[in-house]
Amino acid sequence: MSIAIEACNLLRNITFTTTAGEIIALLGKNGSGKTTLFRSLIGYLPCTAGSVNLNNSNLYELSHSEIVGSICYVPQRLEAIPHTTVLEFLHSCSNKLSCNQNERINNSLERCSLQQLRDRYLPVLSGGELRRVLLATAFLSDASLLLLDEPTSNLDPANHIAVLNLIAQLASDSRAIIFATHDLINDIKIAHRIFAIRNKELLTISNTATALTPAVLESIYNTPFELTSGVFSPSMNTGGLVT
Amino acid sequence: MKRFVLLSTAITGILALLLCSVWAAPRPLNLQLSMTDQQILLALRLPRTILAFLAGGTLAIGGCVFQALFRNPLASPYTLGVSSGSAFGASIAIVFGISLISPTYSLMLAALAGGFLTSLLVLWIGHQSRQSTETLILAGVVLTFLFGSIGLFLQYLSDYARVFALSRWMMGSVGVIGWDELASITPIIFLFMFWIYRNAKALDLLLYGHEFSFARGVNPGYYVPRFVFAVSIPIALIVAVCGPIGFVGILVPHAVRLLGYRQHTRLLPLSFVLGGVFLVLSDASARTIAYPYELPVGILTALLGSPLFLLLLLKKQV
Repeated sequence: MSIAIEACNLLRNITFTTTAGEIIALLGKNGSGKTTLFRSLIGYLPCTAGSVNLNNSNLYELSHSEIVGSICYVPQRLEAIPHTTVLEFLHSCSNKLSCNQNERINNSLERCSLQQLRDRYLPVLSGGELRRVLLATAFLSDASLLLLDEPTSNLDPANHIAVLNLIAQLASDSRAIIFATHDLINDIKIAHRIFAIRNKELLTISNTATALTPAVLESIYNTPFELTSGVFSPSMNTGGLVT
Repeated sequence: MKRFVLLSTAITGILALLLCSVWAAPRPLNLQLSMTDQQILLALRLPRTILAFLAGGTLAIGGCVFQALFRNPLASPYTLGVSSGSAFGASIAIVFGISLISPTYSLMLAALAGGFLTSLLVLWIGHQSRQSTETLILAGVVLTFLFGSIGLFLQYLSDYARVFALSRWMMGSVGVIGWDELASITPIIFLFMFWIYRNAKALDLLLYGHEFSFARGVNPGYYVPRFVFAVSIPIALIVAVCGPIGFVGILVPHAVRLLGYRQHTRLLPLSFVLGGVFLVLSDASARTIAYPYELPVGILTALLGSPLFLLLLLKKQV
């Protein structure tokens, strides 16, 4: 799938191609435009000028169901968490499925280890459980490109690894995945490529030791980085907030 | 099974009530009806019972839809000012004595115009605020106050008889309709109810917020205005005929949710039936408890509804 954004919602010159099975980690400072990129790609934030091209056709000439059919976006959190059960939530998300709805739902519950929680109400779930429930909706989609907004943030180490495993599973079902993250320890390990948003433009980095260096990270986050025992971390002596 | 039991109970309830509420006052059961009784039954009681059922059901559906659209348990046709807009239209018709075809029809048309214009205003505000829930509900509160105070001003200006007519209308009643009016509003109401039911699944997704529902294929920009419109027109018609009847729209959907039906494909039809039964029951009680006087049913639903609703609020089950 090829995507080209000429100039949209302050983002500029974003062009990339993905193939099924590829996992891409998207880095960038807070407020750099990661979520904006995702929202623009599904047309939730319409471009005031410029265009978004999906496989060389203009996104705004496609119908909403065509876009949603090829791109599945899973936001970081739900805007509202009503008093519904996990199962009801997944049923609401699978309305567009043509067949085997219950089978697909059971399968996604199983993949995300949610069978025990299927009749629990969403408001009583923990942050990690809710994240798994959100990822379960991705298993219900037939889209070839998955956009996951910070699926691993605010999770304990066990849930973090569980979510990374789910991302790997989703990719093995021949989907391309772009997930936004701030984690430079575990998350970048599963990524085949790394994208970063720097000054509203997309920086594409292959995930190799020579390509991803402290200097590159410094240019993304505007703060010095160092590499110790194979782990990137910001230098501790910079002091104060980076703006 | 649970569903079957609930539905059959509801249907039995309706049949029983259709028969019971035929008589104006409690009296020994006598199935031999005189000619006058038959007249009362067919020309007055039957349309009244059907209207009560239709009004209760429509108000309950209005509550369901607005609660889902605005993700607010307190949303109802009243919260958005649609009811008060219709009431405002109706009070203009009453105070200025507008009579186009017949007084009842001009009242209906005026209330319909009021409700329609208010829903357009609500939609415009929604569009300006990118369908922000908070803005819409606060705008609804403001509109309710605005229409209320203009209504009071109109009452202040008009003569005693019209103030009396208006204040009786504001109390809400289902007793003022014949077969003709019923036949003219029923198809319109069912048309909109059918559209709402056909799109019930979109409401399920809209509950989780605009961003999520958009990502799952339900565009709020398309659905929210259409739902507001599809609910406002039937509500305006009901308000035109019955006057403002409160609490049905808030209470009934919550009661159905408490029974465990939260998916809109079930919530909507069950709310319609339960809302209808609730209002028929309320009307039958309103007519009989203070015999020979008839209480306006709006007073009774508010008297029953407010404590029940407070109880729900305190139990945090809304």
